[in-house]
Amino acid sequence: MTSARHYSVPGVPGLAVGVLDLGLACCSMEIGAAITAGLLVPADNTPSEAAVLLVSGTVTDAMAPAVLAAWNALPEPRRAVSFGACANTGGPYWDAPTVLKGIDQVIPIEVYVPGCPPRPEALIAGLAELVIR
Amino acid sequence: MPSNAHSLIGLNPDACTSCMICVRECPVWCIDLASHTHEVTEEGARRPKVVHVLDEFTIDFGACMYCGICVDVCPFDALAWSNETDQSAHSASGLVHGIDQLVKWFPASGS
Amino acid sequence: MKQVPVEAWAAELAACRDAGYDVLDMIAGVDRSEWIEVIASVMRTSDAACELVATRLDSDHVIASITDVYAGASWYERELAEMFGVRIAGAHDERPLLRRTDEGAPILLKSTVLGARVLTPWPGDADASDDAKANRRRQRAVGVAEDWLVSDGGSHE
Repeated sequence: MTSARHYSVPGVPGLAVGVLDLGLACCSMEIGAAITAGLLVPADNTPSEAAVLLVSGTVTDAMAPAVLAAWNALPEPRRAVSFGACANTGGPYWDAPTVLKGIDQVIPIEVYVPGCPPRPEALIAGLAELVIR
Repeated sequence: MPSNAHSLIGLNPDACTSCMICVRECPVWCIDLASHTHEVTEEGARRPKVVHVLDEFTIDFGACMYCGICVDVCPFDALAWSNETDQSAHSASGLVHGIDQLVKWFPASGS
Repeated sequence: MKQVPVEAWAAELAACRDAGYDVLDMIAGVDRSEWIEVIASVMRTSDAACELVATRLDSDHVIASITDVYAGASWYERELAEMFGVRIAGAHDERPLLRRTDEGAPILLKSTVLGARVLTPWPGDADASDDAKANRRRQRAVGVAEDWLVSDGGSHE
């Protein structure tokens, strides 16, 4: 199992998170875009308050058990963010019999980030919601 | 954020005629519209005319693919791209926004 | 794009490989209603040349496996089988890709009606003219055949 990477978030003072990025489709490109734009800065051994599972992209029924396994493997305290229309509700694939209608059917989601894809700024705003909560 | 970024979609309820075109063209069925008809008799008119009155208009941004088809097909420019940033929510239903919110996202004229 | 008869499919792809096209980019199926078109895209890394090879499956939806030519074809052949109902001849991987059950028709065929499109009330069906004054014609969502329309004339609330 891939271990979570640690990031600091310059736009949100005090926020350092361990993010396990589960990029399942095109939305995951935006995570890379956020890093390239300096919105999300990879950091070594930054103490993190919470392990964040970031689910971005289309979750097929076939893939759902892998997402659940990744969630179960994450140490407490853990929180999950659903990133993009597919992970939120199925999005453009809402009518496909092979696609889950929202990852919240499998794991508890704390923040839903809308967009298709959401912009990198929206990712940061979503992570900030974890702090505000 | 770039000014042409696909962010959110705003509604001008005064321009909307409840024609349902956006609702029917939406690929992900994320727009819901409810309206009722109302007879208006204008002075000097021979017959009363039937107008549609918009009751509810919601966009589920959890499902919305930001394709902009609704903005493009609206014959009355009642829908427009907003420059507001995306809004995260703590529940999937929190991404469903009605007239009260959508009107705030409709860009001011001239912008 | 090279159009070949289905009998020549495997031989043509083998010829591509022998001509230096070392990478199978992808194989795609397209439902043309009357037939299923299968297109393979191959690339040659030495000079970035690309070639498309296409064939059509008419009544008999069977195509030879090319996994012995390009091992990477396996994924796409599983996709053709699962999504388009194409039968793959020869040794190939028969495991399903995305479907968890065998139920239902191949979902990328145009003739296949997606259950969610039938069961989910279409928001476009609602109309202020439900008071029957305007007498507008009721409409049907794209992708839902006429005989699938369940209409009781009332609301879906």
